[in-house]
Amino acid sequence: MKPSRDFQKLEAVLGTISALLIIACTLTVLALGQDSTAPAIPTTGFPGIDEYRASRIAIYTDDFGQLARYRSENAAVGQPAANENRVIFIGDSITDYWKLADYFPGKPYINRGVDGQSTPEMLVRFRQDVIDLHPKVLVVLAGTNDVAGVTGRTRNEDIEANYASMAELARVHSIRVVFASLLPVYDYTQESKESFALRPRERILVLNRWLKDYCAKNGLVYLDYFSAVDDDKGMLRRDLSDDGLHPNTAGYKIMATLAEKAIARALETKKH
Amino acid sequence: MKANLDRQKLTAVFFITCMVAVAAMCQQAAPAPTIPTTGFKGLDDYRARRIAVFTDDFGQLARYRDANAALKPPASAENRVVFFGDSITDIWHLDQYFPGKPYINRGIGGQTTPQMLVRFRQDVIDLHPKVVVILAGTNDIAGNTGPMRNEDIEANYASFAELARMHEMRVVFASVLPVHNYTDKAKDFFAQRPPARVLELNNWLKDYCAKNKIVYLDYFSAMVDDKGLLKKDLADDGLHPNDAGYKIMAPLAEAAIAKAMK
Repeated sequence: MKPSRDFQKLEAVLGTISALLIIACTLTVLALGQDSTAPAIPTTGFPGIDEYRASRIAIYTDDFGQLARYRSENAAVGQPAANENRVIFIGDSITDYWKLADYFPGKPYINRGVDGQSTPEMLVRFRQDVIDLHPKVLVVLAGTNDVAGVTGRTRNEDIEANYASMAELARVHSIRVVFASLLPVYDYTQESKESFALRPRERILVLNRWLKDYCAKNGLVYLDYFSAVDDDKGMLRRDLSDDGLHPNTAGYKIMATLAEKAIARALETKKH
Repeated sequence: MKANLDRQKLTAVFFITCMVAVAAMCQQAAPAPTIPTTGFKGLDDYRARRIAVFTDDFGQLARYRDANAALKPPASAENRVVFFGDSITDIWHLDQYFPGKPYINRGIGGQTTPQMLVRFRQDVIDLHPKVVVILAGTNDIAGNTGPMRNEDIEANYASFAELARMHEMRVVFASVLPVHNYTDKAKDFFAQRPPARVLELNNWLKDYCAKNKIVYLDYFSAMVDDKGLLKKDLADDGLHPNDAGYKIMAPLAEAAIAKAMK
């Protein structure tokens, strides 16, 4: 009989704790529901990028283009010398992480990449980080984060509109534009699965076709990284990137040679 | 045996309940994204409500996407004008103030110039107007999308003008309107918009227009009182013109558009 009485006691205790917990849960849910001013960021369906977006909330609300990033460096750069072939690389993390001084030693090439950025953010900082530095050539490598939806879901047309606005603003200021293709991505590692899933291959191909066509029509230089770094499955070569998205040293080595050729071509084209 | 089985069941239920409870509490404990404060509760609440705009459609391209698609390209003789700006444009019933004119409202309440730059192509260039009337900057000063220096606002003005020029569109730059603090409702709007900053932006716009052969539309001088504030009878909330305000603005806009068309 003793075990049964113990069991009844246990039952009562556990029952009480359960009831309290249920009440606590209900209150929590109610409290969350009532707090209508608590900001909720729309989910992308991918936990990694959801967390990333949440970590960037102050950027989105207070400095969308992240003008603060390069403001003081820009002021320190100064005007180009008369015969200086200044080149600006604008883009996202793929540009941001690229140690230009190592790959283009002695060249007046300026890195204005900001990791995580999409094309609307770049358009917002375009004047400060490109036009006002008076480069001869601009190399644009952008769009992969737009495709991923880092700043919300976008259609390719919206990304193309931003490419066109950047090109037109550059043209007003006699800056020659090199448009780089988007890079392929891969999913060969566990770590790369999400960033790959966020960037459908077909969209990258459509954007690259648009860029190539736009460059041909407008006398701009198209810089085809894609064909040089993809494998027979149409993915980024496994040996050129450790995370499936960002080039490693081997990747940047291939890109540097191609970029240098594209810049030389752009410098030969006449000013608009 | 039965008691044991029941106990096992009960224990299982208990642990599941515990886990659910802990999960619910953890969710609450996870740091909710915090938006930097502006120092104004009303503006802070407003920004919090707009979180999905900031994170997912900064330029709010969704607002006019369908309306743009429904618009036909302008007829050959049509003097299409796009009014581009924030709430002051958005709430202006253009059809009542410019009856029969092919004037298109592309204002969006709350917007700042970086947001407008992002939608400039979709909402202005792609509609092929002959003239664009831009009334923008007051929300930049207020910090709706974060603190901004006047130089950053001017940079966006210049980008509008240059993009318009690439598409052979004439630009009319309207002055930023004065603000008043004569009513309780108006106090915060006024405090967020120092009159000196409005004056500086207007000086810049006037000068930029003169240098670049663009029409400057001076609403400010026509609506300011002897204290340098928006005339009380022209706005109920200190910021947005009422009918009396729009009645003053409409003929000035019409004259500026006519000048730009020439």
